[in-house]
Amino acid sequence: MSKLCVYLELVPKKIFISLNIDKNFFCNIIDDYLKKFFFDKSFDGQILYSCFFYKETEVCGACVDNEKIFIQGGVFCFSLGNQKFCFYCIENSFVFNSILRILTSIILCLNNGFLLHSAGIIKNGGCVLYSGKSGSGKSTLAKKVNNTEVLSDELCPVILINKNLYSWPSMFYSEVEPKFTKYGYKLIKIKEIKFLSEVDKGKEVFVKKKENFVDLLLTNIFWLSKNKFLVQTQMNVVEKVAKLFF
Amino acid sequence: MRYKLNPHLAYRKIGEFLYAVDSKTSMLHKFNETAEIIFECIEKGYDIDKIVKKIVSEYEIEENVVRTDVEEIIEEMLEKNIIEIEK
Repeated sequence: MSKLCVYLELVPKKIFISLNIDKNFFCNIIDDYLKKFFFDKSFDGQILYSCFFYKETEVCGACVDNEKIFIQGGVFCFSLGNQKFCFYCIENSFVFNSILRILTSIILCLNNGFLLHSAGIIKNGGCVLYSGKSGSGKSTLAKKVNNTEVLSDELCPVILINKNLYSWPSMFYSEVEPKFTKYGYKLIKIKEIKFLSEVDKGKEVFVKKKENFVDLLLTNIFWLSKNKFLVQTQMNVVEKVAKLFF
Repeated sequence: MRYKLNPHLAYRKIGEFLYAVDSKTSMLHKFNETAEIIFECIEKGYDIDKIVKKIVSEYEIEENVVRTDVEEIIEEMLEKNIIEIEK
């Protein structure tokens, strides 16, 4: 089995990933599902992921240094400074996608952000995130608009930069595949975060108090479980986000 | 008997409320005012008597009422794995 080294350059962090998986398997996944979400290194440096490419390598050694991610034998490890994060997985496309979710979430977390269970819809040059649990009507809502105006119908990235919140087209979607030729990969300012009712599918929950906003936001975050440091960091980000709206 | 916080718990006061997430299970907890005081006391290593004394002195409520409430909340915190008995 040939080993792949994946290099993910981020602003401001650079992270290497060593994947001890079959090259064909990896390429098929990229082709089938993820290809369009990874783009050329030469693209505008303003965005978070500036590139994602891979090459064959016999020896990687990615697990040795800090700020690197290591995946081997069903174990997915990530270390940053004194922190060490370990996850367990097996090789299949579903798990690979889960790894990417975790990876994306870690990257967002370390950059003042998180993944939010939400449908992202472009509106007037910005976007509105409709957050809710499974079955709350995120996909139904996304289907009502042209998919060039959809960031995701499942999980949207949220990042806080200079007291502004941004999102962008997500690689994690359910029934509505985002097509974002119009907006490219630019950060899109989040104008509002709305919440969908768990009881009345598709209905918005009216949020007036900060307390309710925080409750709902905390309920709908993609939590980085297993690691206290990351969970604590996510909570700190939620506090900052809540201050923006209330 | 002394108690301690679940070591996997991440917590933060957001707005008026204290929230905690068990990083092992992703379980989210929200505390009311009394539970928050008890949580903070346990964090400082107080036993039940000291917690009761603190609440009685600050809120001027009868000791037996406070004790019942504190014991109930501690019991609930133990059930929800927010705290553990210190051995």
